[in-house]
Amino acid sequence: MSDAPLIEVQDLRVHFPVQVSFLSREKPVVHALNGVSLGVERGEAFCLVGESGCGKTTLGRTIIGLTPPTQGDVRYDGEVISGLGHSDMRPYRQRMQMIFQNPYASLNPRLTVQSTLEEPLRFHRPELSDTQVREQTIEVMSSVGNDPAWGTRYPHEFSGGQRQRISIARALMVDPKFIVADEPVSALDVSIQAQVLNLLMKVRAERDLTYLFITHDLSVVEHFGTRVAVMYLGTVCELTTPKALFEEPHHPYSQLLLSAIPKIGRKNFKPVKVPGEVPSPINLPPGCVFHGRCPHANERCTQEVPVLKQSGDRSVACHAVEEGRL
Amino acid sequence: MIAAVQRAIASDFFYQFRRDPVAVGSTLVLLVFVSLAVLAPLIATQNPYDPIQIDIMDSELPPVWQQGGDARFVFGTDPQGRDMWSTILYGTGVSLIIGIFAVMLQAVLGVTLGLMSGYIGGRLDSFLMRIADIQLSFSTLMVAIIVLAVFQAAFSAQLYADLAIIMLVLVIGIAEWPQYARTVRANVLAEKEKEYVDAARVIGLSRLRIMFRHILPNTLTPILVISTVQVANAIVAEAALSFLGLGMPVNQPSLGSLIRNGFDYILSGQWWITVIPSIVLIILILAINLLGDWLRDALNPKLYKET
Amino acid sequence: MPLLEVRDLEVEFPMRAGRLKALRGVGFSLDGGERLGIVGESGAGKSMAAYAILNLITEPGRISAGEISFDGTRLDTLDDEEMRHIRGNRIAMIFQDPMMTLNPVLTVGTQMVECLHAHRKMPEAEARALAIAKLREVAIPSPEQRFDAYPHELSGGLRQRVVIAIALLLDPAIIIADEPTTALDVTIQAEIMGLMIELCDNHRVGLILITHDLAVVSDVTQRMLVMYAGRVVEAGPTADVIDTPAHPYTIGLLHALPQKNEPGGMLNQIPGNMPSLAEVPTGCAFHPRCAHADARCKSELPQLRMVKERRVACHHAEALT
Repeated sequence: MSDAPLIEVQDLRVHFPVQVSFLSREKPVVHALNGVSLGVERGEAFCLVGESGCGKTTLGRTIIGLTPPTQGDVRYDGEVISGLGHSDMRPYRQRMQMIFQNPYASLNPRLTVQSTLEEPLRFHRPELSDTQVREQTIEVMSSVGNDPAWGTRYPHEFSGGQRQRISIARALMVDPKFIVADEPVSALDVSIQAQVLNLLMKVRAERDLTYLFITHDLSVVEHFGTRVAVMYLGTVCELTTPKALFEEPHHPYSQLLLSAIPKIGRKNFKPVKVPGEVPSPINLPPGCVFHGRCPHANERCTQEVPVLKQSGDRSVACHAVEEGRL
Repeated sequence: MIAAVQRAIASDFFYQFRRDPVAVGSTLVLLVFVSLAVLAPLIATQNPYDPIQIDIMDSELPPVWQQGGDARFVFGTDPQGRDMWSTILYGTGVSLIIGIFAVMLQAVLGVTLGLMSGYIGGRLDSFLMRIADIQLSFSTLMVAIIVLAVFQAAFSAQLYADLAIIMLVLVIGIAEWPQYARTVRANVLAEKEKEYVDAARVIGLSRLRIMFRHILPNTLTPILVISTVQVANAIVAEAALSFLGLGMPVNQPSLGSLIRNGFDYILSGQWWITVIPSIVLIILILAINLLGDWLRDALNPKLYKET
Repeated sequence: MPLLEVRDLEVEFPMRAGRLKALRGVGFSLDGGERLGIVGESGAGKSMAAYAILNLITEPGRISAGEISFDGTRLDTLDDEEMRHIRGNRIAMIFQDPMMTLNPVLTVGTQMVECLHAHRKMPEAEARALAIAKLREVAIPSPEQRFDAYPHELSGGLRQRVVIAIALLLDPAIIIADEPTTALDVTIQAEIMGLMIELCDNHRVGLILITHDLAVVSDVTQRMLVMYAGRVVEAGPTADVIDTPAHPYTIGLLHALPQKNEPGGMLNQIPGNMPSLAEVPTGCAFHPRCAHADARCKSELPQLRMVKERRVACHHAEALT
């Protein structure tokens, strides 16, 4: 058991070509991830936050192997897994699983719950007998609070929260060590969110899991996360513990983000007005991607891309912070 | 199995079906046609393909309700002396067989190619879709006419007569696969983006398995809807080809060749040889199309939403 | 007299399973310039209440009982033509997804002018000028250029601003906003919320904000209603309801929020699920999930009554607060 982080990404870049007309000479590219480096330690609940277009979903999908990186690599327990062939990847598929955002699209509508749950187990452990598979299915179903009698029913008979619990059960069937959870509760009602989040926490403790938790809901991060990375346009702006981030965000974007969250019981609501909009990921601004909207930007910010640097109790990618201007 | 049938009967789908008179009516008509065709050897008064049973002296007799009609031949006889009733029964059977098998061929070919095209994408997709486009720009009938004319000329009459049904199934089947392929491909492109496909990939399943076990069952709805219309189209195509003399041979009449047979005789007053088979053909096609229309509406995702 | 008043509203859907009631006696009022929030989870009926006001409930659903009065006139008895004069003109509505609200094949300007022409006769130039002025008012940069843009050329935040501009075109007395910021990013949401507060205050436009997000309601509205299974269970000034909720459901909802829980610990959760329309329990609809339920709760439907400056529909309200 090494001390290396369970998951490590080094200078990860992911670019998607954009569909253009046959006759066009341009080849525009969406710069979804632009040089992300971070590590997820064993047992962590590592959170990725950001707004749409920041690349958090792309990062999750690249780590789990759904999207190949354009540059850089992904390591699991020290071994490089990005770029592995289908059969080489197979053992890793048993250790890494994913839970998706949309409970209405993440279960095959034509398969019974039983079939959906049994499939990963039968695929990875073909030596198990039918009885063993069924027992394992019942055991996992019960541990996530599902009634085993659900097995013969179809996804459309269940509510969003129940479907999400079935998806969680599916992910747990192969006894993974690492789970990427992509906005697992965003599509659910508030009271159901609490149920599913509690379930995720319970399962993590019971099975000693490591999570990469992707969300836009900062209150969930505050409650649930061990470390959080704030992302903007494919780069990590700030990386620290939730407590440190909420008490005092350092990066200008983190400050903007935190000031914009609606708060319960706040007496006076005054959102920070920041000029401009999120630039297009096709034409990235030079230098720091946030410089166009940052009140503290200087000459260096327009030319040089800031790198994540340790600054006190956290890592921040900001020239102003580095230069002590903030 | 029984549980599945019980579920089907109790389902909303069946409930909607029961309530719609058009759906029930056209299904009944179809069932009648199919039963009659299947039971043809038992209920026909003669086997029109057996030359021994036909007497040329019985030719051109009018239907039984007209003057000169013979009680043996309820709908009259054709120029060769064949009983119209029996010939229509056998002919309907031939039309249905060709229609259903041609569509099965189209479906297997089209669905497989559409699945691969949609899921694998890239150059395979471009290539297959270009072929489909090219094929779609030729009318089915035109291609069929050319192919069948060539084969008729190349084979002896006897060989052609033996192979006629197979030829027709092949020609109509291969001509129409693009319809299925395009529809299935469109569906596959949509399903591919759904998270259950991602989940299957994360589990590590192979591409082939994902295509056939996960995506294909979710594209069945449009396949079903097209199939009914395609059966109707195939039957009409066969009838048209037979009418032109390129389909079923003279001694193995289908509805189309019957209509052709009688065409020369309409003006001289023996209307029944053309008109009666035409009515049968029209009712058959109408029933299939009405059922297909109802099916398309009933399976419309907007009305059948699961969320 | 309140500007809008809804009394004992019932909406039902005749379905194969029976006559399902989406709303079972809902009542509230809105004064001019006031900001009211309607909060509930999916299936509670909050959107249904708004749609009922503008008579937009799709067949086979219909308003089966109750009264809706706007500025003295009964809305629920108006015919289609009369209702058309109200919609967009005196009462405007904003929906959740601007990409679905705006017609993708028409420019922003065309859609705005179309809206104007539907209710007023004015020359083209005047309509254009008015539209551009409204675009400027919702802080859209370079409104003259945006007037000729297509919806897909604008970002999500800008699109929602366009939708708000369209809503304001005819100076309505009330704007109903159904989850207007749910589909937007947090920073954009904050801007849109700020914009709506500003516009409502400046123009004395009443706002009915429908949302599931308690934090948004807390920041934006002055009064709020909490809905559950087709009825209002608590109603009162927002600050009071949020700080000291009285109904067990409201209490449960607020305590389920991560913000109100110790970090790292289990969140307080409300057991069970909201009942579907076909399976509403007798008596108080919340009783199967309520820790304080007794025999009375199972049989007798609680009515809204005043307890500590707000209305609560609970037999045990006094004991709990």
